[in-house]
Amino acid sequence: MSKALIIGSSHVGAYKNAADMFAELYPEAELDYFGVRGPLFLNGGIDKAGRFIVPFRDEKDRAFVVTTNGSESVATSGYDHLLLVGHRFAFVNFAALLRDHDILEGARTGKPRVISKVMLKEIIETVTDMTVEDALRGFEDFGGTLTFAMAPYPASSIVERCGELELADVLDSFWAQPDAAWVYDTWLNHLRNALAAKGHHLLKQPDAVNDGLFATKPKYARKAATLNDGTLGKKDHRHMNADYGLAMLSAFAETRLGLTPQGAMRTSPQKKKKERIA
Amino acid sequence: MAPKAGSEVTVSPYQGLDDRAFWRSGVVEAGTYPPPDIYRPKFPIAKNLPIFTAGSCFAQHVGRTLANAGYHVIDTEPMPDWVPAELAHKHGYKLYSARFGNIYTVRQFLQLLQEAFGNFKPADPVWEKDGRYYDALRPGMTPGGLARPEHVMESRDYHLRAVQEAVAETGMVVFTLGLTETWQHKPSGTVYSTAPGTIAGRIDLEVHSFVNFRASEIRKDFLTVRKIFRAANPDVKFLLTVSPVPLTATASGAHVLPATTYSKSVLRTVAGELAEDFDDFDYFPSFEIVSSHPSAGRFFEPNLRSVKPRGVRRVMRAFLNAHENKPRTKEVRRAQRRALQEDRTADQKAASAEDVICEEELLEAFRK
Repeated sequence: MSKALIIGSSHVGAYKNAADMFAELYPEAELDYFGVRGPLFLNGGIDKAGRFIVPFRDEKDRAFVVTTNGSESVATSGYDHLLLVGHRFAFVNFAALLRDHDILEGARTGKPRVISKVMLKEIIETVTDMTVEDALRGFEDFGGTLTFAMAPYPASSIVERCGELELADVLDSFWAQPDAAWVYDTWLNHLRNALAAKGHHLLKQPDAVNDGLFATKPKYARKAATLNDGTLGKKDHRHMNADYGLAMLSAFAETRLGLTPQGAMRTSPQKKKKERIA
Repeated sequence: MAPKAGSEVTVSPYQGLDDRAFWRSGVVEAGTYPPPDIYRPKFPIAKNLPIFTAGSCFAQHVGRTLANAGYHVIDTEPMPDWVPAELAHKHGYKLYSARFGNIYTVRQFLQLLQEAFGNFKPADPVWEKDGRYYDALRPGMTPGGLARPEHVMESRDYHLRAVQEAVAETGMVVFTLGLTETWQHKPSGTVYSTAPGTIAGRIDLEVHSFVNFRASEIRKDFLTVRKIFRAANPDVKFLLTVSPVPLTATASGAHVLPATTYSKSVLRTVAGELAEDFDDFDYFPSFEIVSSHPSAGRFFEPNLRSVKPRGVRRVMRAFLNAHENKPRTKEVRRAQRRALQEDRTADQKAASAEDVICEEELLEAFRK
């Protein structure tokens, strides 16, 4: 039996909502979940007693964490694996840089400035290394390998919110950039190598859920999961549903826990949930 | 103030002058260094006045200090704050109002502005080294060079548009005069920031020649620079400083020490005369604060060339105090003494982000 603890930001909700279906598919795995608001997760770490703790900003924070998880911290000892969910490793910054810059050696899209490939690569590598260091801070004393699953790539449908949400504008411009693939690959390869150099692992989004570069298929953003087993009323295009959670957990089970699914999945977690409610 | 011409007085014309006019009270017994009142701004600088910064490597400190103090320093080729400063500086970003790098001579400044407005075409604008290509006018801005000469030219076109934009919005130019010596492409008069062959390119003494600009040429060049800025904004002001950083090397044939004194004297003369002759020019004595003998060389690193962070802080504090018109109360004096103490300890751990990019230092590598 493999025992893993999933710690992360609000995106843990998608994973947690897939827990039942995951248990059916991978009965040899035992998963526990601990989710907190993004800023708390990013500033959290493991204390000397081996518990993952977060710096509460106020009592509301504390109350939310206790209500959601049943305790305000979680012990990490006794787990074979830690899966950390919620970092973005600065990719949005790199995409934002391409809003004002074309790559000198690449295609022209009428941006007011150009940046050389050499410099852009140096920025991507340096800043990614900094984010890896930040992500590992607080986990130095955890003995095993950490696996990082990023915050889900936003749904490609996020462009519906252009003009209202900066992330939507940034990604809309990035997806229209002919040299986007080079930027994305440079970042992803470097990130994977930077984590591997420190003995850790990156869990990529499976191709089946992706809708291009740094984008998730819109269907995974429908009725996105919240941390407390609910669903988001409005499509925010950033949080994902249980189907996404199951896809990520399956990838984790197969690549990191070495498990294979027991039988085919009959119904998607989303449909199953609908049936339960009906 | 000295008596007016035509008025008869029976006492010495020096009688009644301010303490700052006398060496003993103005320097020896001033109590702090730099002496208080060493600089009286000719015009105020509003925090929202768009400032164009340029000059030799010491000018990087000036721009950075102004920006940190909340002044509006123009940057038409910006990099976001999350890009580490050291990395940005290495590629020429966040140093000056556009990505032109160090401008050591006024002729170089003039040619950049003329080129930006289509009135000058530099000769031999692309240099090659080991199969990589460099902008001859700012070879230090692309470490490792670019893959093709067309990339250099296209990048330069974007840069020149950024220079134009910067000029168009300028309310004040802060310029640090650095050198009189440079290398030029003889047939066209194009001057370069580094001698061909230093970072890239090849020196050809049939085509390239050494030039040591005279005061009259520098003054004339700066007055043309002024015309260009005034065409965009007739109310533009100019604040000049002279870099206290000595020459790394001279090609004049003289010993480097007198060659340095000569160059700095010429630049200081031009700056002083422009400030005396025109209401829109002011001079700030950073050169004197760091280099004159009352500082006893203590603001220089052991190489007697690079200015210590402490020296930079003293210079910039004198500048900001004068412009922010802080009264010299007991509290201010106490704070100054505390700051001096902190200066000494801070020198031990000068932050790398404060390091300046100075291609001129590369010359040292060519000593042997």
